[in-house]
Amino acid sequence: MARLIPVSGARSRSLLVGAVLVGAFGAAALLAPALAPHDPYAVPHGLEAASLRPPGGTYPLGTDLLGRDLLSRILYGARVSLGIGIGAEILAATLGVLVGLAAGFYGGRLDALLMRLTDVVMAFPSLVLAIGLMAVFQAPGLDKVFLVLVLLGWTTIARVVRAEALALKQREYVLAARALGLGDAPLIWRHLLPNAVGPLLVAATLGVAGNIVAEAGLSFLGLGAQPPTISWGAMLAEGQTFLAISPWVAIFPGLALMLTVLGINLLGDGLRDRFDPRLRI
Amino acid sequence: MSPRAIVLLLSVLCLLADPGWAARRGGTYRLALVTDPPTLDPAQATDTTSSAIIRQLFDGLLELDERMQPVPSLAARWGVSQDQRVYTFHLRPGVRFHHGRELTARDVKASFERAARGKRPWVFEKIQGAPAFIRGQAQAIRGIRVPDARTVEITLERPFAPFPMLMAYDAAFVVPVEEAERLGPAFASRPVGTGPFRFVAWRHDDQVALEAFPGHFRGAPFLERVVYRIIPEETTRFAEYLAGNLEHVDVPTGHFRALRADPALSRELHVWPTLGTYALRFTVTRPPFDNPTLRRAFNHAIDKEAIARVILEESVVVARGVLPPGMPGHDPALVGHPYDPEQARRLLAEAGHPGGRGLPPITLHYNVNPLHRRIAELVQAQLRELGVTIQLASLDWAAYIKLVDDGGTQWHRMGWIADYPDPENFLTVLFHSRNHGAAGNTSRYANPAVDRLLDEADRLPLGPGRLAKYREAERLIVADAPWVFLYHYTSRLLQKPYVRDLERSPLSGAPEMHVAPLRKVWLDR
Repeated sequence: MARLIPVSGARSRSLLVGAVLVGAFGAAALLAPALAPHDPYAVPHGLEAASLRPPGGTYPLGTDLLGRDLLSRILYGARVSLGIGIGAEILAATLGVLVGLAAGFYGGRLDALLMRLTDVVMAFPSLVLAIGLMAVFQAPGLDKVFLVLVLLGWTTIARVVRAEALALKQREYVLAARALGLGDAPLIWRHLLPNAVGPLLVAATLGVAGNIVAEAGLSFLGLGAQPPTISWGAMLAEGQTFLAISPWVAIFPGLALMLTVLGINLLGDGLRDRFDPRLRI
Repeated sequence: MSPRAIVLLLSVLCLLADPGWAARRGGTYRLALVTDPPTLDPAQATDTTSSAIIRQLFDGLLELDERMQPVPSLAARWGVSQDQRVYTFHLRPGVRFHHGRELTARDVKASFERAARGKRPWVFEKIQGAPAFIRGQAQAIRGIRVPDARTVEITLERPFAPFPMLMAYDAAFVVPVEEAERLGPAFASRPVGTGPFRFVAWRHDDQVALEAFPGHFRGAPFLERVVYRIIPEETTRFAEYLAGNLEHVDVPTGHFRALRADPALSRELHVWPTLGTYALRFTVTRPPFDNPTLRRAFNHAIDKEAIARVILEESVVVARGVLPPGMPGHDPALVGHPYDPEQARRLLAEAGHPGGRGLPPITLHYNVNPLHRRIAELVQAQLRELGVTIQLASLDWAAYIKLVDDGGTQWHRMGWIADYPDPENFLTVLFHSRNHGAAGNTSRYANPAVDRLLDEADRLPLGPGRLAKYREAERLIVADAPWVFLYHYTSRLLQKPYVRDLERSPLSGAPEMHVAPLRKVWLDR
């Protein structure tokens, strides 16, 4: 089973802070319809008065050019960021686990083939490759962002799981189980996978943060979420135009993005230290 | 006379004085272009960036003055026959190209034939025999005759009153054909014309430099040099202007209001109407937009005032029809389809979709650009209130224009800027049923009554009778609502206070100011 080592001090604090931040934004995403003070999509009547309102009053974080409440939009934006971040990572991790286990457990040519494929995918700068792939799709959209993140996101997991599988399959208890006639599938399922869970969880958590940043980056460039879908990246891009006159339009989505990614990274760091202080990803 | 009256009188006298009398010579005019010009050859250009430079290097038979009326240029005078089909141009004597040779009528004919097989053949296709020549079925354009070295006679297939405006258009500028033939495609980067400035150097994606041509038939221009700097980023152009490195610049997005409130910069800010119309065009040949009632409902559902005031920072004029203010034939009495959500709801129900029921989600296409996206988002939000679901789809320009020309959209945005100040350039090009698709009518609108009126108007001589027919056609078009008419363009420019006589034409926009004749500009410092 996973080795749980008690940690204290700064490390447990980072785990706590990370968990609180992620919990807060997770709750915001889940409860957005209940928490949002305004309809995040509605352009108010009397647009002129509502446009680019500074923070305060009924609009705690101000409004954007089209008079839409920034707080409500950030709450709904959390759904996209976390949804894409976590959803794409679950699929990417599944793919990575399959590749990693196959490569690590069976070894030989299959291992060489799968690891060279991993190298090829990792060799490309991922954002540039993502932009290139988005161009192939012609019409951008979140579904395509999701697909691209899955296609590019499995490699780290595959490597981590392969390394674990390589080490674990030489262990006495695995050799013993094999000698007793246990088949490949039960062996992988009962012995290899549970022992790889710790590093897997850490890598996947950091992968979620990477996905959120990538989605925001693609949406910032106009290649991700299309209106009316609300994305923090797209909000940042819009805010950039008004940075000199209405800075809040860019600052609040930027803060939300920063705090979420910070929280996830702290959580990942904390988890890593908890599972194995020697492990470095 | 009181001292105040004397000062007033003197000021008036100064204003009335010939600018040439007070104008100072010398100096370099520095302006910015957004992209590297694709070409400097009038036959190959299709964009305003290229035109901006081409217009300083070459001349046409005619030019448009600040009131957009054709006036003499290479032709000292011209006339038209009784049947309005034959135009005779008498060339000015002693006009020289930059390389020294004198201009003859043969250059005009050769230039027109060269350009007719270039990128803008439509400028010449009204000339007798031009369509066959353009298709490669004739050796020459039959309708262009050169009776002597100083006379050009052009016969049209049928009367077309705005023809003199085409003769002032930069596709019809005159080149020394032996130079163009000798240089081949290189003529586009080493142009030779008769214009007030001659070509000096072009460093791609950096700058194009011109210098005064002292041998110009009007005499040397005031400016010594003109430097076009290629600066794609709007905030960089703005910063260069503020640093004193550009004589004029466009206003960057989102800065208009702040500039207008700025005590110093507001005095350098100029806004003027431009002959252009921005609209969301329906494809009217397919459901659901083959139903004019539904199209009218959409027109009433969209708050054009909000778009003009909030998204465009009050810098544009709300459109009630097709023709922009300033265009001959513009109808100030036209009511159009003002924002009225109640009326929109009623019409939506009348069209068979009360509360949007039974109407499938509609896709609005636009090309990637923050302005288009903001407008599309506002439209989406406003139609949502009526129960109509709009999906947005953005494409880059090349893919977008192909889809639009092929009629592949339900609803698409499109702007149109006048090539020349005549209603034919809007109404016939954009709404006549023979111009479906890439020719201009991307809505694929067809109304026999409109076609008939446009055909009649296109052949009438300039004047009120002709304009009345265009107005009637426009009223029919607006009633049919093939577009959601949003706004008419304006241009916004920051110009240093010492710049004099830069013409702000309704055909021109910042930063290129492509029809502004720089030969008139001088620097008062």
